[in-house]
Amino acid sequence: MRSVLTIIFVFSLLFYTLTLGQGWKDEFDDICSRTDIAMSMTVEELRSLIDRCDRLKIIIEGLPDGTQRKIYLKRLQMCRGLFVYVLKLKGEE
Amino acid sequence: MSYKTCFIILLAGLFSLIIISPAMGQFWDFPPLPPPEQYGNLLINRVSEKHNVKPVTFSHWMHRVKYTCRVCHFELEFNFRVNTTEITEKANRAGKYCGAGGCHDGKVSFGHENKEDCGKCHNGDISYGKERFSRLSRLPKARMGNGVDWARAIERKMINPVNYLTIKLSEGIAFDKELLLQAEWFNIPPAVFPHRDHIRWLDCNNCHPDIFNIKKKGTHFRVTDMIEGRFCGVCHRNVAFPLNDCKRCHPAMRY
Repeated sequence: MRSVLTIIFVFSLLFYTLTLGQGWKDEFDDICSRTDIAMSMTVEELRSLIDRCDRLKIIIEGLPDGTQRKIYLKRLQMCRGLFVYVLKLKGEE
Repeated sequence: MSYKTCFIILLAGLFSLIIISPAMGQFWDFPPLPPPEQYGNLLINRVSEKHNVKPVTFSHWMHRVKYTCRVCHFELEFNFRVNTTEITEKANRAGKYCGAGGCHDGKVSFGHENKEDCGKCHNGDISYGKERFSRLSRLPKARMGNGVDWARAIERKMINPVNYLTIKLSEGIAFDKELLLQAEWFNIPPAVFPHRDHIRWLDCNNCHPDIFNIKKKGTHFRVTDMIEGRFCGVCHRNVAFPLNDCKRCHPAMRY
């Protein structure tokens, strides 16, 4: 029973690691595809996106490839910067 | 006619000149305009000559027929300021920047595989490709810049540039508010800023917050700021229609 649980745990960890390899890109695309509708979002939606940006930033910072890491960090910063900008705009309204 | 009358007429003429000249755009020290086929062309020479290679000639008009500004200046992370993006052959070959999938990857367009293709970019010739400029003759005309009204061209679907490579835009309603910007000088009619014409080409984060920031809401930016490449001048100094074309932004201007 213990060995079965161990095997399941190892495979789950392996599966999670493999999917995480490209999962962050899907997350990035999902976040940054919403920049053009940022003005129509609610404050809660914007805050949620900003939180997702912060979590994704940690993952991207752990990437091995220097150029890829630099490019995606910059792009994420641009997306996050826009969401923060719109959030402040809505706050002033 | 008495001397007094002549003096008054001369004074009135001088006063009119002072009032009218800014409205005619002659007051500002705009950078000289190149020929239409060279407008928007850049020489990229961050490290080329250091490595004994000719600078790269990049033509905006050649590329914007096929891709919007958003693709390069958001998805591919090219900076607006020339020679500040760390483009290298290695990065290109790795599928970044110019070598991104769907661009100069050797499949969609020439890449770095054949040596004879090097000169298509590394030629140091600002007018490279001018023989192909006549292909734009069917597009709506503009007075200055490339002589092409790119905003009308895309609005009328005469061109259909790709708007994304990997980050597809959402299906929601994009922001399309039109802003009226009051000029500082009493004799200059207000400028009209249409978000709609800009979001057809750009992503929101291309301008916000780096170029136009809420913390500085109500900031007065002047033509001199734009001539120095700030605010609207980031694009409209030498890529989008030039600052010299006053009526494009100040439609009520009479000249």
